[in-house]
Amino acid sequence: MSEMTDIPDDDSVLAAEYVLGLLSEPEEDAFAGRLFLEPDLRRACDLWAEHFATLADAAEAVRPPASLWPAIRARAYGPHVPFWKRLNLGTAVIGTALAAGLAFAALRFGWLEPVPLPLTAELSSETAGQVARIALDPESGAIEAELVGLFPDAGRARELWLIQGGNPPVSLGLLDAGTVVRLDLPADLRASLEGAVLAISDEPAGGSPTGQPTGAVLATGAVTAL
Amino acid sequence: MAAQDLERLLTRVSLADRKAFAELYSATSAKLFGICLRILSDRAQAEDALQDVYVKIWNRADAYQPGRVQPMTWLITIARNHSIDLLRKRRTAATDNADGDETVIDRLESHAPGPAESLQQKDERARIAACLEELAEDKADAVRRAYLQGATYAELATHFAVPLNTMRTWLRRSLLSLRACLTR
Repeated sequence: MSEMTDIPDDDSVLAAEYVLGLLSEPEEDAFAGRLFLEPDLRRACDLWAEHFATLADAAEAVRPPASLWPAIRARAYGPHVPFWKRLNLGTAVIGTALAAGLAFAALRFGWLEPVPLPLTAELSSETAGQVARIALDPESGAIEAELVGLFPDAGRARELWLIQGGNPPVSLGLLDAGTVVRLDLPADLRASLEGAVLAISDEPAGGSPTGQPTGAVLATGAVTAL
Repeated sequence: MAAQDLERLLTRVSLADRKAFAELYSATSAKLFGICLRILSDRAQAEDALQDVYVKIWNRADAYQPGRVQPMTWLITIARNHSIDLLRKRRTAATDNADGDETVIDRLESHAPGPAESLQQKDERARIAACLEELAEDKADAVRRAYLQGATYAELATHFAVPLNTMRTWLRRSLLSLRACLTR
């Protein structure tokens, strides 16, 4: 921590105010300008950030809903982000200033317990692009499904089907336009989900009367672990 | 998961490695979601925030510099700053609706800090928490409000019913005391 005393009091306080976001816009701009030129100042910001981050780390870990992961994947892997957008620097910590590269006394964060990720599927059609995002938990059989395109006309419904290998489609339930619906995957279908295909068909309100798709298949997608 | 593992994952994510991104999400999403929830106190907003946070991580992992700050600090800072941005926008909107920001801040009243860990344990994790304990209660509260609620000087001055300049002097003194404590 000795580095923290290597700079004048005023600068150390400014660094803390910068990390906390307390500076006015002109003050912040002036400080950010100095950061590029003064490695000691960057180091002071990094040290404050390390300390303050442990305050946030005290927040209890909460497992996010399964449907977030496919939504994040869809946004992250979606249209390419132009490089100038990626240069939009937020804070000193995220900035691209050169690293001081100093060894740092080990601040330990809480142990991270990885959460199992759901399997996901993105269902798309050639004409409409992405139609639905699905997250499946093979252990509990919980499915979270969101219809994001090709919404049904009045009196029609969108039904989700699972196709495993050469078996006939099995209905998993109806989807709802623009909201995440929770469905259940029967226990006997939970094995060998990876590589299975999900499909959406156009059905009368209430779903297929026959137990098999009766209308057009609008979108399909494979179940994947990544 | 250790810091080196996270560092390796971030490096791979910066090369657009999707498997590494999935592992990183698996390892860190519960922690970062907890932080978004803590700051925003609203589940739907925290879910949206977490999406934005991981999209940012995916797009900006190349800006992470190993050895500069710990990988978890980098991730937490992105989650904290994004949540604070949203919270400040929400407060501005609330004020515009003639709903005093004081009520919003009060609703987000910070939890009391967890049981203070003894300084003798020399647990780095608890260092700033322990150093905050050494400050007067309202002084420590002001620092926590700034970090965990994104309170501005103006908001802090209103909350503690002191003039803006007094507030600023107060908090700067607290930061100096904190630094002295953290450097001991």
